[in-house]
Amino acid sequence: MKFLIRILIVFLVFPYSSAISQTSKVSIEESETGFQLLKDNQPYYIKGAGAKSNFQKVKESGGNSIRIWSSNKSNLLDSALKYDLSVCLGIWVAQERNGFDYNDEYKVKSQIELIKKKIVKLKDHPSLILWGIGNEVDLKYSNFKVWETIEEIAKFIKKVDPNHPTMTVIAGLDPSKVFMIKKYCPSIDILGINVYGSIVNANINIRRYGWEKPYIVTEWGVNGPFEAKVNAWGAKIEPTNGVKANQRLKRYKDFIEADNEKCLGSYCFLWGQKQESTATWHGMYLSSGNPTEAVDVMQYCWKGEWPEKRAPSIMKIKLNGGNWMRNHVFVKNEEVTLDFSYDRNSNDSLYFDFQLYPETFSTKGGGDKQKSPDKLVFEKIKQTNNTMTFKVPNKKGFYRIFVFVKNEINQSSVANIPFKVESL
Amino acid sequence: MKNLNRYILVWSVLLLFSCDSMKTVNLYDSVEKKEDPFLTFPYKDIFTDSDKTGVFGMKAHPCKEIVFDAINNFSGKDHLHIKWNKTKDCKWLGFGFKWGDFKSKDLSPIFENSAIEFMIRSNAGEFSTLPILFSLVDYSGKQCFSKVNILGMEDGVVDQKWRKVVIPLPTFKYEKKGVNLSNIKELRVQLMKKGDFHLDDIKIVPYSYSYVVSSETFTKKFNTLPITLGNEKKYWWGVNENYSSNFKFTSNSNSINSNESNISKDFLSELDVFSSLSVDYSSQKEDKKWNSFGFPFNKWELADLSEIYSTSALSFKIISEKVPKMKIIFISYLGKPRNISKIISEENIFKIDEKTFEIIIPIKSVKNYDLINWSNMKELRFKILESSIFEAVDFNLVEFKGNPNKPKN
Repeated sequence: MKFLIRILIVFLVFPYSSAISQTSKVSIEESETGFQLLKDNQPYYIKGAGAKSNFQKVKESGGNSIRIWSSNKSNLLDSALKYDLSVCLGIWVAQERNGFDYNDEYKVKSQIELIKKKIVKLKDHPSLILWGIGNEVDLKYSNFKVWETIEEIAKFIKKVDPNHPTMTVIAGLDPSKVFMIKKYCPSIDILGINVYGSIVNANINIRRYGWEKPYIVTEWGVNGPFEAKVNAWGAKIEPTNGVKANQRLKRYKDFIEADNEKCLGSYCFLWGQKQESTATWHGMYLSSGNPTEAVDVMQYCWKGEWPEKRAPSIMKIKLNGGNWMRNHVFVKNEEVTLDFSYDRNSNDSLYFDFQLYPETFSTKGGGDKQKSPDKLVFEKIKQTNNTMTFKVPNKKGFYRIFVFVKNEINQSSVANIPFKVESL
Repeated sequence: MKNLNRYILVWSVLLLFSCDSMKTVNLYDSVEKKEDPFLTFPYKDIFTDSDKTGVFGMKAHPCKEIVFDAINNFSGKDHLHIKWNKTKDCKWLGFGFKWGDFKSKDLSPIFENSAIEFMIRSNAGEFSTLPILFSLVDYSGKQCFSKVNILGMEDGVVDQKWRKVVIPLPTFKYEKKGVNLSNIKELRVQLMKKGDFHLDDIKIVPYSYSYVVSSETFTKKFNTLPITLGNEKKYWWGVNENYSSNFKFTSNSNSINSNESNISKDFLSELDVFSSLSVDYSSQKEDKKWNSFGFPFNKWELADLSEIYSTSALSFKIISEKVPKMKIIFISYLGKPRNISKIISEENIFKIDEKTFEIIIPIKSVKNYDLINWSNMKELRFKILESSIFEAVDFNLVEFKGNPNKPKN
């Protein structure tokens, strides 16, 4: 009987102790040359992606970490563990711009209590590498009490989880934000910065705004829709996938990898797909699930070598000979030709697809959820390997035509161009 | 003896009259006893049993199922079992309580010190948040919302055991929604996402709510001029000699040695202030991008300059042979545009002596000055546009009522 009880105890205790033993001890080391993240006492440079799916591809491409924005889907931690990826676990802190009132003590306290509960539940997960407390709580805000909440959470983490550093993530660098975080949040170890166009000045700004601790580039990629040029009717001009891929590569090399003093690594945005002004702006995947050339770029950044098979790359797109920066105005039912030039990247067979959508004109920012428009039916008249002639809709309005090109293993590139239809 | 009798009689009569006018006097001031409004509130029960309290919105629906369940009640003969899945096809999901047979209820006397309390258990799983919104609906159809949150849950959790939860009435923001608290018709429940819960014994209970909603705004309103700007080092950015020597704080400038100031350097240092900013910038140097500095209007909080901006000018001094090409940017926390800027031009420069210039930039001379949100100003930023060596000092917002485009006149 005693023997059986012993066996039972071993079985009950084993899974728990196993998880505990796998919990990483993550710390930050400061030396004369700068800061370094240590995972179980080994240097750990974050080669990360903001991702909720396609984890296997992150691993295959040479990445070692993913960033998620909230702790609601804790199964993602298990998925990451399966692919030996660490997780920067976001603690969702409500944003003033979405209606949260930081002057309301009851709401503030309840948010904190709820978060504390989640922290206790997840702190020993073996894939956890650091806590991301809040995402862009500073965007369009004016109630600085939010930093007290961030500090209270960070302080709690310091108390219950000495194994993982704390980070808060801000929307772009600004001296006021740096000042506030230094003043109100001494328990924050790392500054997370979401920088798109402003990544080109991030290295210098982090220093001139006075941030003395290390930082992680928690979201980066191509210039965001909020930074884009707009045409005469306010439609945002999206660069082609090829242009965006080149921009990603340059930014990683020049601004992320180059700062080996303070930057502990980065998370590219977005290893997946989402609607943000268009369906293809930030996503490194298409809504079909196909990877774009941005995924190839990340492999080159992380591994130093291109994948054996690369996606084609659309560099230019034109409508009736006018480039993608112009205002394209047509009359109802007009026949229009879309030209696109691309780099085959040694692909023998390429497949093309064309899709038409109404313009969305979304004014939402900060990654807030946007509704995807429904695809429109249109009449295709003629197609070659780099042109497609079609009839614009028989209805006045604002539209956007997309061209997709993919190889036989679905690696893809996409470009789009907005246009307007008027009456005669 | 007669006299004595008379005397006694007179005194007796006097005593009798005086007794009549005697009143009881309390030792302490009397406290008027207020009746507890909760005790007289007649509609405490919202849901007890199906035969005693009414529920509406129970009709069969593809996305929700609301039934009276008689198994495992918390109390009485039955309870509510609610089960739903809010898919894209079902727009609004919910139900409500007739609460006192829809009689008009005046919640105002009990609002601050009462709560809705009920018992809840889940069919499966453990929850710290519930996808359920409660709304108080008045007779004009206006409604205000609240929900159960972790502070109102017994042990911070809802699970398969009957748990008590409370929603304090003050968490219903009725004023914002224009709800008439003295004329409440019903309690409505809106179901979000999906769930499967059992509810019982829904009632109004006394509750001590100690949380406040403050009105702090982090805004300082400026009504008078001049305003001294940038006099504390700790609020500046852009000056960091570890990375660039383009900008340095100095306490031995020409300005501080002049008669204009009699504050000792040591005193300045102790106060975290300085006498001037020394600039040695070259567009040829490696750190040429290190060309900006700035400071806030109000300690990085919001500065409300809306009352004074139109009659003010930015003023500061440049100590140098010549005034460098420099862009000045006014930045707001909110609004669009977020910033406005001006490059110093000839009409902004006033020569004080051989090496000192006063720069005056009337706000009205800055392009789009009327579009920026002056109620929420953040900072002043300076960008050096050419190689230059100079000192900058005495930043102020001063009164200016002249021609903004010709401040010299």
